[in-house]
Amino acid sequence: MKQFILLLFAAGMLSSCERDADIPIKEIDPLLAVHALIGHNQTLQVDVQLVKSIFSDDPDATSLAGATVKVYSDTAEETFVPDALLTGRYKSPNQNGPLATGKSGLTYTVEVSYPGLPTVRGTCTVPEQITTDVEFDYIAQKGNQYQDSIRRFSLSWNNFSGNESYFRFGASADMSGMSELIIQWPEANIKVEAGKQEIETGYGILYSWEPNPSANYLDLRISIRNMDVHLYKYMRTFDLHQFSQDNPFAEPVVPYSNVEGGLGIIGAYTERYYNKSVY
Amino acid sequence: MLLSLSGTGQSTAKHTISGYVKEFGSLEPLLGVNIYVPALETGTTTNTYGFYSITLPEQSDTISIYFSYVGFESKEAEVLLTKSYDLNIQLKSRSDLKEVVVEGKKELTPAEIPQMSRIEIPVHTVRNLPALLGEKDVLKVIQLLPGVQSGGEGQSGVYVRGGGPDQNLIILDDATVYNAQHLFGFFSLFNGDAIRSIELIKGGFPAKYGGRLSSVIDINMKEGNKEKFHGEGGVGIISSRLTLEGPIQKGKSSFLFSGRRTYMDLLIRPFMPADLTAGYFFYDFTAKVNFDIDERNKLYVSSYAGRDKFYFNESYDRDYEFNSKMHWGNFTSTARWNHQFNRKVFANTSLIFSQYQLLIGAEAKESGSDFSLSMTSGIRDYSAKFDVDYLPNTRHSIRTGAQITYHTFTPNAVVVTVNSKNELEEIERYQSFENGIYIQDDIRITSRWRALLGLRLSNFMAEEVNLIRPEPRISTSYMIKKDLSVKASYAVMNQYVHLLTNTGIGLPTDLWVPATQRVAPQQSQQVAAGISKDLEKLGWPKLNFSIEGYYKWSNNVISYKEGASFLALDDPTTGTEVSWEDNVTSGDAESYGVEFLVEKKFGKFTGWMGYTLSWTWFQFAELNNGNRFHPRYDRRHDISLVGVYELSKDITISGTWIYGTGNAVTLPLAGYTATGLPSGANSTPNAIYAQHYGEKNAFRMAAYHRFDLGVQFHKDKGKYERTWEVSVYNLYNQKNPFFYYIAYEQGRNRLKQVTLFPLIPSVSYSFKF
Repeated sequence: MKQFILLLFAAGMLSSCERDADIPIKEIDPLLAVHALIGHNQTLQVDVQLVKSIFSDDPDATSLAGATVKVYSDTAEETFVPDALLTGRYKSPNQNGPLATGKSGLTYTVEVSYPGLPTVRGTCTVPEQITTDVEFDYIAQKGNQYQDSIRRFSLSWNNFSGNESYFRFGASADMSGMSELIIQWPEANIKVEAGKQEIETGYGILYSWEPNPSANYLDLRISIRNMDVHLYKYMRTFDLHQFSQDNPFAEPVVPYSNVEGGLGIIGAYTERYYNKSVY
Repeated sequence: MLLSLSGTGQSTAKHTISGYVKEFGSLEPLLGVNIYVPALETGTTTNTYGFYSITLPEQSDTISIYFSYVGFESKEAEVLLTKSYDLNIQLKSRSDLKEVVVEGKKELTPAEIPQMSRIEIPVHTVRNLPALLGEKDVLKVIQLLPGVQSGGEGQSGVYVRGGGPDQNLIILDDATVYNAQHLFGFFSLFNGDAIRSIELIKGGFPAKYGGRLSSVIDINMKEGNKEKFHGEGGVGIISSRLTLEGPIQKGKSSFLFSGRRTYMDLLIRPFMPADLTAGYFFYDFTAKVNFDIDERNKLYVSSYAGRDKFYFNESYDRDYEFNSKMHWGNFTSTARWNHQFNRKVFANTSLIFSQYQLLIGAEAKESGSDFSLSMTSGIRDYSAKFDVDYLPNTRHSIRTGAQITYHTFTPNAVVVTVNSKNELEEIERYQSFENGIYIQDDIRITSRWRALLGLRLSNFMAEEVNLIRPEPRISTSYMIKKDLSVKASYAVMNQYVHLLTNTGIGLPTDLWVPATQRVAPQQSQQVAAGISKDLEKLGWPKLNFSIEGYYKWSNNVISYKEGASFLALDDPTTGTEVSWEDNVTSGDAESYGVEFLVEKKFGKFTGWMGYTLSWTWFQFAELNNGNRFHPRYDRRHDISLVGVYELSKDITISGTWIYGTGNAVTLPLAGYTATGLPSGANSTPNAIYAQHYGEKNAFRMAAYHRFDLGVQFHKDKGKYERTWEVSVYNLYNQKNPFFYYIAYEQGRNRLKQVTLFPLIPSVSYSFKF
């Protein structure tokens, strides 16, 4: 019996606790990832990557030259050409053509094909331009010995469209002309229900430095983007993915995609900037 | 029904026989004892306190009443039904018999028991089966039953019919236990030496239970031996335990005290450097006293206290000291008063306290200044409960009652002090009432057809919520033949408390929170149907076979949102500070399956074979792009083989083999660069390395299987009995995956698996006197 017990102990101790998983892994077939963020009056460009299984010999996605990229709008249709400066990027062949830049109110379809791979496509509509002004409150709160100072502000404005809308806010501040001290607030994605006329948001950030007594004002620069629903969903998962990837307890984030048969996003937005000095 | 309550309509005089059924020698009450009168083809069972009452028509001759209970010798009583009287019965435990007794008279088979989806787990089975590191574990034995599964390697979390571990109502002497696990889920709270009975209900829930969707695990503590002083204990690899019990006043009152503590921390202490101490241990204590005030009144007071403690302290010279700790644990206390109004009416009143608390603390002292941080979370309940059993005649067994519970939830309480002054004090607290009233009638419609009809009205009141929801409960059984019955049930359940958990492995950071205006209560409906067959006539004596199918649909089941966890203080997509309500999303769940069970409860060889074929689906608007997906614990096939063989009176051999389809998990399939909008006025788009996961939980871990073997050597040493147990967990050293990760090795990504428990032998010593 004693020998048997010793044998069991030895077998247990020799057991490895970590090893290659002994299960068949079904590798995914290569597929296309397409990113086209179409802004009003912004250059319309399409980025294409070839995505391979993470367990393949060459798992890194590669920017793909040689793809056929077709873009359709309500009024035009073009086959885009590779950008001379960046592999995998495609632009309109006509710099002044109807598809060179995005236009508010138009619906765009992007279709990408590559030999041996299924053709993928996605559609988006560039939202209305932002016309109303913004009111905002700013709060600066000095932290104690063990806390950083908190700088927080909130925005409010009328939802000009009155429909369900999706916005992304960003802000940065220049501390009293001290250009090396730029505050960049995290950007926020907000969904506004249909019929709701006023929206608010607020966000803050912690800084480890004491406010400079001479820095008695901030030059705030606020960006507001009106996004279509696909871009809104995508940016939410994009941010979540970015912020949760170092948290082992966080649920995995599945990046949103409206690219049928592939990955990525065909999304649209309009944007507007506001400058304000806060004392 | 009211007409029939007054009697059967005949003029025959009726007489009531009532009393208690207790264990011979200790006077422990026995619950669920079957009492059967073959001459009249009727019967009843004892309640939680061992009380029974049966009203029968007058007979000119004596008739037999049989008392039978699993693990106990059956008893026959001859009675003359010419008047009502008390009849107290004592049954002898088979473990007290020096030889294995061949059963004599009538034992009720599962085919004759009306309720379905209900399993009683004999405490001696828990003691006999092999266990991880020799630590006997009630919940891990429950995991071996069909329809029940574990969450992962070594875990005590119980998943019943597709429900999560938060959906089990775990009750210890009427008190809800919120976190039933020690050591991050590897061991359960319950010390088997202090337990009298364990009952699992998976469906067809009696109306007295409410508040959870998936199951009830009702555990009753022993009361303590009323006849003589008795003790038992044991020494194992990681813990030791001791239970003492005995009479306070012989035959009238008794006490029980039981304690257990692990000593890993004590063993490693000598190897620690002088300026550093760190360790982990858990302990639990159970205490109970009870008094038979008179024939009609009994009083019970019981308490459980358990705590896990992890600590890390270091100090360098006199100037610097840093102490940190994480403590968590449950405390429950119950005072119960039984009052027998007359031979037909029995009442119990309970006052209950239950608390689960997690404390994370750190303090630093340096050069005369100090800093401390403490974070607590938990839940505290005060409850009052009143139950009445009314047994007017043999056709009806009526039970009614009410319960009121005052919950205090503390999802988060943070206190920061600097130089002994409070610098920050943030306490998030919610109060609510959860109440219920119920009535149910166990009706013997004919000698073959029984129905359990019940209705529970549940109520939840919080700051902005006031809900009243009816919960109908129906169970019925029809005995086609003496050895074959069909059963069906339907139950509606509501759950007003939610458990926020990322891992499902029972971390102390899992958080209980109330239903709110934004986070609605969970609700489920379950239908089940089954057949129970005694196989004796087919040539397999003492074997019972049952098959049950179920379909359960639930709504407002909650889950963390993608990217969310208990660590998330801000929502990265809005930038705003978030509360727990912002981190969760709710959806629907659907589960269905078939469970097969063949069991042998008597004889030298006992055990069971269970097989479950099941599916569980979730659908959340905010998860997996709104598509249906399997939760992590969806398990297509689940098999358990359990056997205990008494080789001789000195040697018991036991073994379990389990097999389960691998957990459903999410693994990355590919990586690519995802482009986002530029930040602010910056013209360069953001880009991140994104992983493509495909559908959520679309990947199956390798199937889990293992065989455990244990041998117990018993010896009667005159003044005491001792047992040596040698057991091996995972005898054939199966490398079961605990989790997977991807590592870049030899020029490519590889899927690696981590195994937690290879072959683990253990030895333990137990004694009793």
